[in-house]
Amino acid sequence: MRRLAYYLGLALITLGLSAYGALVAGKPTGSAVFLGLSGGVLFISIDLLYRAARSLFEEPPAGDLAVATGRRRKELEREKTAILKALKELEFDHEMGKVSDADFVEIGGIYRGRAIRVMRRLDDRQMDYAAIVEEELNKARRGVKPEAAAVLLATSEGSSPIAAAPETPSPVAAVPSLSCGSCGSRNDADAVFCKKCAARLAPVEGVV
Amino acid sequence: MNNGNPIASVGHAGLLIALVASAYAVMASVAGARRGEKRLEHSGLVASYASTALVAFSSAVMFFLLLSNDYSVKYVQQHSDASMPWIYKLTSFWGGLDGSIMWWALLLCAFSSLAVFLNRERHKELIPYVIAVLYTVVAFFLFLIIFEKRPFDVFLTDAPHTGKGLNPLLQNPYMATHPPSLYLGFVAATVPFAFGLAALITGNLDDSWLASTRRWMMVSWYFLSQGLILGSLWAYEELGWGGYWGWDPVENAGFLPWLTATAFLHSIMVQERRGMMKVWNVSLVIVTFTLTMIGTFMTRSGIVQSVHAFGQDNELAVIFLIFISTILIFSFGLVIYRLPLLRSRNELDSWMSREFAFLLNNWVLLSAAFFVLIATLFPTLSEWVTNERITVGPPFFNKWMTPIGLILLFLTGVGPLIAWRRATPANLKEQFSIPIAAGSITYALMKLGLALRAHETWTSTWAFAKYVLWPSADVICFSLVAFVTATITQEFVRGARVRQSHTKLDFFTSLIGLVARGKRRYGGYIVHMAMVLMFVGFAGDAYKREGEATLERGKAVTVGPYVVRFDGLERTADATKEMTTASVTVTRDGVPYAVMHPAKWAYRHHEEEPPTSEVDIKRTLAADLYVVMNGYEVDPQLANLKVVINPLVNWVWLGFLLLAIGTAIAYMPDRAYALAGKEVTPKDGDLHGGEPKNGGGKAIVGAVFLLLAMGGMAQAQSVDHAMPRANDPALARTDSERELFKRIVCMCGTCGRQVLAECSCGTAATMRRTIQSLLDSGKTHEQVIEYELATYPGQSALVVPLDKGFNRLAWALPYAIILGGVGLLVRFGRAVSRRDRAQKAAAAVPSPQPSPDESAEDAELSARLDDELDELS
Repeated sequence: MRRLAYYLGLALITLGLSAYGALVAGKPTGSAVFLGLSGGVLFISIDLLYRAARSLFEEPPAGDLAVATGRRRKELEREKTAILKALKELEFDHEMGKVSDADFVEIGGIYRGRAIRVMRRLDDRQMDYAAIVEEELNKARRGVKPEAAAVLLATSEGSSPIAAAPETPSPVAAVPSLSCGSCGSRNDADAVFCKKCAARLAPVEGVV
Repeated sequence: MNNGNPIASVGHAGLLIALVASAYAVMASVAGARRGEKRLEHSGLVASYASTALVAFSSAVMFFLLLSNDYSVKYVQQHSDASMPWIYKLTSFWGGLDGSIMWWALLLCAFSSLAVFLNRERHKELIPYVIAVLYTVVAFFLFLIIFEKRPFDVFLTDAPHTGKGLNPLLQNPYMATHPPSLYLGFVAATVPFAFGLAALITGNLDDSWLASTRRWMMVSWYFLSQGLILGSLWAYEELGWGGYWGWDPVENAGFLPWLTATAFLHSIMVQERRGMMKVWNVSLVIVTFTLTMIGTFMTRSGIVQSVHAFGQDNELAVIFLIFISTILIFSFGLVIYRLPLLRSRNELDSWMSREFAFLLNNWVLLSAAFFVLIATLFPTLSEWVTNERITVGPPFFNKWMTPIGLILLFLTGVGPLIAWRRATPANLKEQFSIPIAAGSITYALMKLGLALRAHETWTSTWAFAKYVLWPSADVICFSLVAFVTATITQEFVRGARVRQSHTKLDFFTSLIGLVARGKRRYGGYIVHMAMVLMFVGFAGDAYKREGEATLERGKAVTVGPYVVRFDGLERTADATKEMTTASVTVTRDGVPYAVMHPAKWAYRHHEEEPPTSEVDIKRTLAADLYVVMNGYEVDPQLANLKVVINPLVNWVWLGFLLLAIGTAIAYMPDRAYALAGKEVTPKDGDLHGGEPKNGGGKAIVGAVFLLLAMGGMAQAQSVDHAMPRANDPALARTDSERELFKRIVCMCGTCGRQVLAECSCGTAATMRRTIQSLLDSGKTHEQVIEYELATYPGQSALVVPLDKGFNRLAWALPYAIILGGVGLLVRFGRAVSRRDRAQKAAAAVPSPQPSPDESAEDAELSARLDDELDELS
């Protein structure tokens, strides 16, 4: 609806001013066209200026979630494309007789090796988001609940993330949460004080 | 201020608000990006659009003022006139200094907003800085038109009732096409610069910024090419001196960024493919942009003298100099700061590789740019150092640019044939045997043909043999043309055959499929072919012939096979000018060939300027017959006619048409990319380069053809250098006299320092007569030169400065460039051979060969790789 009003206003101003210009001149002239155009463009300018000011106080349009790791992934994909294209062109050059058989095998081998390395890293990365989140959680938990950390370490050690990540049951479920002794609220496993009543949850170590 | 005219005040106010909006866009974008404030960033983005809209508004107001003949505005009064056709009223927007800067700002705004709009989703992290860079440049130009060169200024006292009208030189269709093309080329170079700088600032120096940059550089490169060619056509048809390229500083200003943009478009492939030359590419982007700024600066500050510079303005010169130095210091500071991120991923493997061919091509292009820049600025430099303005003329440029052009032409043939990384003797032989044969046969045939044609001059077998064996630039050029044509044809034919063997389709379908599959590659080859056609035209200049005579009615002058007879004059007039038209009948080898009508037009309101010469040209692919009337007398009817035969010149224009086609093909998105990126979600648009939303690109191409069509309707017209004199032009009587005339320039001050051998104005004739009488009295050439030095200030009368003192620099420069290049090559060669030795040593130790990655567990990945490769083809 607002869009419609906007375009209607734009058309009205442009055509109105053009008509006015033509009326004054007594015939449709180039200057009348530019009078209308300048009116229309001025309308757009004012709207844009208003929106520039307004966007200071409003949330920007959605879709701005830039994932930090997404860029590296794109980079890898670009590299893969470049290598694939290079391989393709090498094959083509070889068939055109520009590259000797020996060179084709050697250079092609290097490219293939590189492509496979990149593909493997891409595969790793596909699991990455889950793995990264878990790793962060682990870091936070480690040291507080040695037994929970040990469980986590056991799941990630020895096997590569490719194989391990999908089958591993969510480690969060395996970690028991703490109940406050005084008010009964559920607290995070590594909490030292209750988030509700501020009573101490973990025993104070090293104090005699 | 603009008190007298509310409309002009509104236009001026629009510019002021646009400046504020630009400044805000810059600050909000940078602050938003640095602090991670999305709202601020977004506000900056919208403000940048607003700034563009406001500049468009002020431009619309200016067009309105021009079309409504509002003479209370100074700019309108000085550059427009009610009697001019409306199209020239529109073109007078960029016909003067103030308006041309505003036009520049308008185009820059339009391109900036377009680039930001097309890339806003793709390069999120770069965009705020792209906006910051683009709108800093916009703000600079807005600052100029608000505080320095104000197009909306009005007359404080009573305004005149009539306009002065556009300069007669500019009243022709080329005015509507040539400057806008060059401006578009200049302005489009700002976008790659902004992306490059944004990548440097954010440190996102992977290859993501390259895709957008490359496409915009292609736009810039294309429009520069178009601008240069239209400029040449304009010079050819309007200026009436018989040629199309005279190394005029303003044309050079467009040629410089064209050279570096060409270099970039080649070296970028090395970075994409091999991850090398990153610093080099970023530097090329910066240098190209700086050169567009220097070009603008040269044209508008009066620092160089040219037929179409805007005139002296020291204040503007200082402002531009400050801006350019700031750009250079800031940009290269960033490059140095980011050097660790710009390290090469690979090294050159061999001298015989495509990388090395590219390196060579870049070196040659860069030396050409450097050479042209210094030679163009030499008068200014010498004035600073020695207080004496020493100009280097076209012969000096030609002497050095001819070999450079030939080397480039040679590389055009070599580059596509040679393999990446390393070429072996066997495949060199397979690739180059046909082209080399084609080149050699052409060379031999041409030499023999030329020798036989002039057989009577050979006194001995030895002289004949010497002539045949001694290479000349034109014959080398034609041989190289054959060589390159053969390589390109071979590429197409072999490529189509290979494809045919895969698809089992007929040859032509395969050929089309081949081009469609590799648009960028084969579009590039078509552009190479276009350059070959242009070189055919350039080489034709060696066979140029001309004659000049003052004729009574019924008398004729003979030039080559043509007899040109003067039949009489006719006088007519229209609203803006008085026209005097000659009627000329041409016969060729006794057969009637054409009736031609060269003319002189005298414009009203421009009585102080000499009348323009209307050239008449009879065009064929083999040669143009070019007739210009330099002077006339009505009673008795006399006409001074200059007749020029320009062989092959039309191939230059044809070459440009092919260039446009090749660029269009290369610009289209490459489907192979889309396929390769199949696994990537559409959001990850980076893989598709700057390609999606290609409507913009196609629209641009469409506009280009429209512009071209307009250019084709152009009519010939030119300004004469001095008032006509109907008497003898005193042309060179002997070859040695002609050589002498080539060393001295015409001193009339208006013809753009043409050499005496070519200039057709009255001053030149007088100078020639003086020299002839000196020679007749027994003076030597050196004594004549001394006389000219004594007569005119400094060394201004000489084409090439005397070889002494500071002037040695002009002489030494090309040699210095060559030496520098040789040094570079030697250094590189040492590095290669050292590595070779190291490799040999390493090879002695048994090493695990074919890549260690291909182990059993990679079998699955390897199979997947094969699948993806199959899909790609």
